[in-house]
Amino acid sequence: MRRYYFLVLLIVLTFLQSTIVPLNLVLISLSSWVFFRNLREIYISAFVAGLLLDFLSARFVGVTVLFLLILMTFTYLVRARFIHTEFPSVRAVLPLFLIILTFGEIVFETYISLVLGSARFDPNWKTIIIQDIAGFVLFPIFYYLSLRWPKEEQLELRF
Amino acid sequence: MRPSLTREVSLFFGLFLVSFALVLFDRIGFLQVAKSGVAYLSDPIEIGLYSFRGTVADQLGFLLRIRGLVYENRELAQKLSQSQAEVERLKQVELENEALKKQFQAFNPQLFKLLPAKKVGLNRNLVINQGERAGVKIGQTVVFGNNLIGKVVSVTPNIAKVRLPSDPDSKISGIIYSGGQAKGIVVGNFGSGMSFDKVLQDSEVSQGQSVLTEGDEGMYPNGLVIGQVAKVEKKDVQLFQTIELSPPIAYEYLDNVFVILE
Repeated sequence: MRRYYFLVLLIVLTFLQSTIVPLNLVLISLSSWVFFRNLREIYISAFVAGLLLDFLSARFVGVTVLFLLILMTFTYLVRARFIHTEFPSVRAVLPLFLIILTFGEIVFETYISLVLGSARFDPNWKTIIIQDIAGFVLFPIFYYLSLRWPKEEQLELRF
Repeated sequence: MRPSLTREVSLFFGLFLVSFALVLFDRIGFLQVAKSGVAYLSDPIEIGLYSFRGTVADQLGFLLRIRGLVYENRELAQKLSQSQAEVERLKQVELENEALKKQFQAFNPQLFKLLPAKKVGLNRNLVINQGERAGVKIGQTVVFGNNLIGKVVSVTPNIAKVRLPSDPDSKISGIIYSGGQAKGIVVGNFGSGMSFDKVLQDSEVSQGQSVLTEGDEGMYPNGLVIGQVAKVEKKDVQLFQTIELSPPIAYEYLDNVFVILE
């Protein structure tokens, strides 16, 4: 049952994002989970959350899923490139996570604009900075939850 | 390649193909039933979350305002005595306002069939409490007074989502009547502002002017206020002016709006 806890949490975050929280909580969650959950779980989570977001945001269904799948693969490859040890230091992981989160948000805004035909590169830096701060706060919480809800191939961080 | 990684690669391509197929199906309208089903289940949750936010914001706002309210109360007591004298004058002003409102009323009930609706939420879209059952359809225009609030982009039996002009997906032909005419396209920015794009350098535009719907594309009635010019920037090297607009009303304080049904 524990393996579904993260999926349930993600569905709750998706509803919050599409209604009352003006932050990309799905992107924050998935980008951080890549650092300590296995890739299969990330793909399934990205698929479910992306689908739900599209349904709730009146976009073409599947558009967000395509983006999240590609971004999560990219994030996984970056993580694998820079973090070799099985017990990486949190000092190395957090900056990398924040860089990926910032990059992901900029690309996401531009991608959604392109898909919807506006074709404007005009990132909202204020939102991106607030989102980075939220990511900085949420990352340790997600990591703590990940330790409580372990999975195979769990990656442990060194503090 | 490790066996587990092969599984993950297969999963990636599987989900990618399914998502791609869903996009195609949605483009040709095959997912309407699924969308209605999801909306049926998610609408109560969304409405519940919106009202929860409203309650929490009210309670927190009240706590934060208590100190200010004490000072405000003292000031109000002083102003109350002055207000008595103002009342008679304001009655006169009210009568004048009423007359002006009637004169400039934008919508003739004989020409437009309006449906009153209440705001139930505001995120990227404005959510209203009228849906298909009340006759709301995708593409209909939503107004408040003579101001354009947006266009209906999604409808369920009980609620509808309205895309605001400040949304980055919104593009509206706009016009300023200022001696001459300045035509362009109002485009929403991420955040709450808008840009008035494609306005030629020789058009005279100044701060505070209203940008109205042109109505040429047949999507909106003409003459609705989209926004006010907040900032104008002219550069000789550029073909067009850079104009920033502010919304004519604060969307977060809106309670009631009207959907133009016909």
